[in-house]
Amino acid sequence: MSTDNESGERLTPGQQGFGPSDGVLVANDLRKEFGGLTAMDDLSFAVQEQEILGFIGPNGAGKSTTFNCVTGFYGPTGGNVWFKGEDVTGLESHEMVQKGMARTFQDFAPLSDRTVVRNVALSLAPDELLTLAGVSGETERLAEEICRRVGLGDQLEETPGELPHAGMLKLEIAKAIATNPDLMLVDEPFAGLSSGEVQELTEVLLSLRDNGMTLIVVDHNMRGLLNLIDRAFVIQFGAKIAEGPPDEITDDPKVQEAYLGGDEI
Amino acid sequence: MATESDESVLGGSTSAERRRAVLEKLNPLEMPIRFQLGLLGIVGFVLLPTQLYPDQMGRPTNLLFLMMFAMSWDVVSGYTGQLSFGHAFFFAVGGYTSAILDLQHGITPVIGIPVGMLLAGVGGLLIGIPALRLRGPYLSLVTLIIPIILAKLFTLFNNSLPVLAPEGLGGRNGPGLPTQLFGIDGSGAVLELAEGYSGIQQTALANYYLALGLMLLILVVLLAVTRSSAGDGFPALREDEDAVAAAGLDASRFKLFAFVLSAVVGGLAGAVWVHTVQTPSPLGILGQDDIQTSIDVIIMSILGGTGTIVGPIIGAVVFALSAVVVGGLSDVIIPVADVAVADLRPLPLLAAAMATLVFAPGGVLRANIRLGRRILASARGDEYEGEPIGGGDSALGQIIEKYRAELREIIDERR
Repeated sequence: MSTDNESGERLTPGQQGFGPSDGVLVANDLRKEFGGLTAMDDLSFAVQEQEILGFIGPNGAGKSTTFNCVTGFYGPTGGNVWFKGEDVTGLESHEMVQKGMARTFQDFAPLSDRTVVRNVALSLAPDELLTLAGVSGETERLAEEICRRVGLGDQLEETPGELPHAGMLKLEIAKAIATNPDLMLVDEPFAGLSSGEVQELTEVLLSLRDNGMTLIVVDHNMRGLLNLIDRAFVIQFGAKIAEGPPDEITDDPKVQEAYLGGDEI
Repeated sequence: MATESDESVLGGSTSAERRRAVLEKLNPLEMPIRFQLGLLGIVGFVLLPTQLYPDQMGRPTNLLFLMMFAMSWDVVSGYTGQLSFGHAFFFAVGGYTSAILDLQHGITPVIGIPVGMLLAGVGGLLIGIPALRLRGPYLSLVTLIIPIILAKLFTLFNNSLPVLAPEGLGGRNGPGLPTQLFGIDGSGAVLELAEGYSGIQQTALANYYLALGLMLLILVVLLAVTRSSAGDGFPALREDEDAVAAAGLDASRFKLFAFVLSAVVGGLAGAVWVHTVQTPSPLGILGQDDIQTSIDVIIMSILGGTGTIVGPIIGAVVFALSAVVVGGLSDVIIPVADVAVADLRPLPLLAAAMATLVFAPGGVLRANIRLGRRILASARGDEYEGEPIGGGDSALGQIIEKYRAELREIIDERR
């Protein structure tokens, strides 16, 4: 796996950093400390336009922290994030969304007081305080269309509580799509899904990419991601341990060592 | 976000469609039954004075103001879940500002009322900004203390507050009776009406209809704000701020806006109140122990249904009717305890509020809408499949759940 090692060394933090123009989303020496704990240790990566990057690591590797720092839910302790060439480090989460970066939540965050379609409609609402948008129902129609595209067409009027697990995942993705993003960070989309459902969701995500979207998909193992991602980026203890095409990365000794605890890659 | 362009791709000419949809929604014949009942209620309020003597008009007029206050509370607490326990602060800021401008600076209420409204809005900012950083229980404590501090300031600057109120804030008695908006001929009111008894009659009617008009105006504005797609974000704040942020909406801005809107509405109502049927004094505006009005407003909203805007109006009616009914039972003596039912006031009302909390946390409004739907469904021969009564998804349930979660966080931090 010489190529992996090569690229791995080239991208080792501190040796040669990334710049704003290295991809649609670029993180350079991104660092997050909680008290004395370093959750993210000078992590650097770049995602190219219309790429699907798999962000992989064992439980507790710092995947969610990275996610939260990139999307503005946490402020990073150090480092930079560039999105579409613009420095967006430390911006608030809603500003990131407005710039075109959407995310889904691993533990789901639907609003239980409203139907599926109205959950999606909230993401379509303009960030304005006084508006008549939505009165005539065009927002609702667009929300319905998005629901149908992710396969929720039959559950439009159900509340999130009535949805099966796969439905909740689809709703998360529909809500993210509705913000009209250029880049979508998807947190554990396949957790707990049957192989048929994985296939269905994979097709949805691939079609989003075909329509111009860039995707970062987080998961703690790569099973299921193989047919989806172009490149895998493996982290452990908040630092990168390997990077490369998915079918090669599973043979990487460091990756295998990281997963020795019983987790399956 | 490029929603606008996306919509026009799908929906053709949206502005014309939007206009048509708005007009369709305003056609009373096409409205759902609950809206028609609401319109009927408004007609009832318009016709009410025909059944009353002028000296009986005070209570219904006051009731209309209480409705405005309750709606004001509902915007910020019912909708966004930022519980305020001292909302009368805003009513007092509006009322005192306009009264003192009139009494001590000679500024007509026509200007004083908007100024009072603005100043209440500034008060909303002053509480709303720290509220962004304060979690529920702390915010509640702050809002609980604020009207009490205000009442102490009234006493502290009893005789003089330099520049702002040269003759002072008047302590427990208030600064005096400001110019009335309506009055009989020669009373010095802004609008002088007829002489003698017919003047008294006209004044009572004018006060009532002004209050009714103002109440309806506030109702329409608040409904428009909360029912728009932006207002959709308000109840979402109550549930999950991260989800709001993930939808690309600025949670802080929405929370602050709710506070300021609520304060402006409360300040407007408070300012008009002191120029019509209420004396500006701590007892008159803040209520007993400087806190009663704030509590009453919360009870009304809970009775009617938090997070609905319309609910507080119904709650206020229930509130007032119960006071009348209980007050009328002065001859009914409870055995053993040997007290008249009328003397128990406000205990029966508080008991009703507690019963609402336990049995219909969504409030009277939601419970009746559900009941109505069930009746309609069974009339059609269907089974009504709505959410069960007392579900945890109600606005109040969410507010309490949010409060609990925040309390838990605070306690965990202390460990």
